[in-house]
Amino acid sequence: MVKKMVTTISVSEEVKKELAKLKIELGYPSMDSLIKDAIVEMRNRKFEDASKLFRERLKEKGLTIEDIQKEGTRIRREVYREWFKK
Amino acid sequence: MIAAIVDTNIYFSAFYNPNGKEAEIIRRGNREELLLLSPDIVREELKRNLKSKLGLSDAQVTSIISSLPTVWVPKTEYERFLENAELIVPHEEDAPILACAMKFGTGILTGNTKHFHIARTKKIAVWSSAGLLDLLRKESGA
Repeated sequence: MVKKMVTTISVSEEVKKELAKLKIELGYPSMDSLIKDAIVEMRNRKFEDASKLFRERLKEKGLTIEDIQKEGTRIRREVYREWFKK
Repeated sequence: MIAAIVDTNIYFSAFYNPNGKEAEIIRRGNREELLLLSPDIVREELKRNLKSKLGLSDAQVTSIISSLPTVWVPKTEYERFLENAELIVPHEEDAPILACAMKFGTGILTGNTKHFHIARTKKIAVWSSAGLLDLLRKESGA
């Protein structure tokens, strides 16, 4: 078995206690796996925020997803020619 | 871990419907159950489209693109496969997607599977979102 490299991070005593409590309550085998899951949650939240902004702006502009996809085809052709067909 | 070369339309569909299959693929990427790769031309296309059609600021565009768990592949990595790829795809502008798949020896995830149907004859997998999710379920034994 390959052992993972480990390191330390500095957190307040209060955060350490809260993490230890969550680890037990949620049944995580290690602090590492608990923090990894928290990172995934934050990544998902970031994606949801991006999705919200995208949908709001689409609505404001009165556009449909088809309008965006169609424009994508035109833009890709434009970028492809600029980058590779000079 | 399965790696997929992701086409732009998948990202737009994911942003449009956060409860859909494409968004599920992004979440699986976030959980590192799947490696998502795209050529840098896809990022450029996203940037230009978000700016010109939706009028988003540079900061907003950066924020949207950085919300994706994608590894962006620079053109220097796939350029040498472009010539061959151009001969296979019906639309030359799709060649970077196929060139990346050739470079990494993996499949393509796209909303336009028909654009890449000839790639299948070259033994390159072409997945729809539903097809890739099915494959992931089978792989995990679910």
